[in-house]
Amino acid sequence: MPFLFHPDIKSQYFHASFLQQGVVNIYQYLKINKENLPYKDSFNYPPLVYFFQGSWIYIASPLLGQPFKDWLNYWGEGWYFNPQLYRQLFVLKIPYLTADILIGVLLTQFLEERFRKKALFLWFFNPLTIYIIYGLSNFDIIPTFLTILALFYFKKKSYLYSGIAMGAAISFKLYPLLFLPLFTFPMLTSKLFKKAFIFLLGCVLAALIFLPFLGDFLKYADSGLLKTLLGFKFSFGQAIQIPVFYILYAVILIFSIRSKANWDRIAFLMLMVLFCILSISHFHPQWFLWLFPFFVIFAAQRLNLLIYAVPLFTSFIISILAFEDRFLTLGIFSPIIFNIYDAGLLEQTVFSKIDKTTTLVSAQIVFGLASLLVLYSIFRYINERS
Amino acid sequence: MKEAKLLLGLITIVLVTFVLFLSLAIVYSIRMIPNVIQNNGDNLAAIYAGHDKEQLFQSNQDNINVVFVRLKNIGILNKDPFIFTIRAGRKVLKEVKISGQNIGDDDWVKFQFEKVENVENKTLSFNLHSDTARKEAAILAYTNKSDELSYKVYSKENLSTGMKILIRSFFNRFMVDKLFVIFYIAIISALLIILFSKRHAKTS
Repeated sequence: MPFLFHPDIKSQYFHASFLQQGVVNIYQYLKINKENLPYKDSFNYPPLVYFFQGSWIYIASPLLGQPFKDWLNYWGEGWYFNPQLYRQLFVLKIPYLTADILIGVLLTQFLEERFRKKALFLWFFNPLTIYIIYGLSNFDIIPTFLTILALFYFKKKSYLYSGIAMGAAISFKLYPLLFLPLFTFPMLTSKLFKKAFIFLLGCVLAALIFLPFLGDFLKYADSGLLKTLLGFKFSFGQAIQIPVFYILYAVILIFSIRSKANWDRIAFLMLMVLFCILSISHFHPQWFLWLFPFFVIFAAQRLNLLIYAVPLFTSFIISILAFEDRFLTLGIFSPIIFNIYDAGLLEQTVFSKIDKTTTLVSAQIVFGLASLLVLYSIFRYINERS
Repeated sequence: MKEAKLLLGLITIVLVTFVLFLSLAIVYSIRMIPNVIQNNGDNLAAIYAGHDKEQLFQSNQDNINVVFVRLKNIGILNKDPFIFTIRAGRKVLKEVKISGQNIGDDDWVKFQFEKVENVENKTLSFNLHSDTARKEAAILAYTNKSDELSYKVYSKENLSTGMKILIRSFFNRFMVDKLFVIFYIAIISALLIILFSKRHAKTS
């Protein structure tokens, strides 16, 4: 935890630190004051991220100390000479460690006794999730935990809590919005109208925090997810272009209408949506975390899924390497070897010999094909079981 | 049983590849030790025909072989030759020519050359110029209010010296925060004790 660093953790907590100064609307604040700040990027996430991370800074301030504020405001070279760097990286990642552990606990609740150890092993000892959670240290583990929690409460038939968890997830990241029909459509077709209403009510209650900031969020935040989802289009003649994701999502919605309101079928539908997102977009590596707990639920029961996971993980790793960000690769070890970022090993060896665009496209095609194999295998397993 | 072997096999392959690659990276990094690091702010100085930019610096070590300079080529408009020259007084030590196309829009550009020896504690300078670039497509260099450039100078060391410098640097930085070191070692030790005592309980 203390030895891996990606600048995203610093930029997110830099913005979150304004909560202690009494700033409530971070979007407006940055719009007005951006040019006077040492770090000039906009805040591109829903508001609960700001309040969550801002609250954590306040709670953990006795552990973080004054050097933390100085470090947050320093954006030059030599940041690794911060005398409390390791402590600060450790403390900042405690919420992510907590969510990681809670996801592990929740995963066991979906499975029979004989599958639980495998699930825990796959979740806690997977190098990719360790890299994403503690290396990239983005907050995506939090909405991931909340979506799993929503599914857990759904399984327990506590639809209000399920909705609240899902609404909270949406207030962290927008992608769980795509899950709302996957929960409600099966309930509606099973004539569980009251339960669908309670679920949606829970979502709305939890997402109320979004309302005061919705206008500013839509105006000033720059959503990477929306851009990538809408980027890949089918052309019908010259006039009509339809984002591929719309077509695929429509197919998934049809599946959900015909699906029973069972938790495992809904988990499968969620996995379909997430595989679609990652297959057709130049995804940010932390997005891979969104689908992994759902993958573990099925892989723990059917370990031969891991064969299909090999091309999946390989293409994921290749797509990381092809990203224009050294901190995604060896730069992540900068707290240990402070000149590893500038050494540029990959740029000097691998990248000077390959075409990044072709490599990235090939990796995505492989990822898409492997996703289809995984989904087909899970679909057969669910049908065999029922 | 088959499945457990598959799992372990996959994890082993990933870990071994990772360790090999990290080792290579360490060996590579060791040969590039920081000499001078100067990060100076967000003003911009234009470099084009007739408008060079020079920077003096004091070299802390010998065997300089890399200089990074923070440059900006807006819209990658500039595609002219761009020349980096490192001097000791008037004597040209090394010269590196690149194309403006190799300079991104806010990029730490690397100028690498054969190591320059006998420069420890000496005052050197490097010069950036582009004889054919127009003002409209100038390369911009980041500077502070005193017009000093943002740059980093690295020296090439042999393996053993480089390894010692990096290890010493890591331990010095880690050991500064003694309270955290004690806490962290205690946590790791506790986890290991729990793990091994559980395994021991199982086998007995």
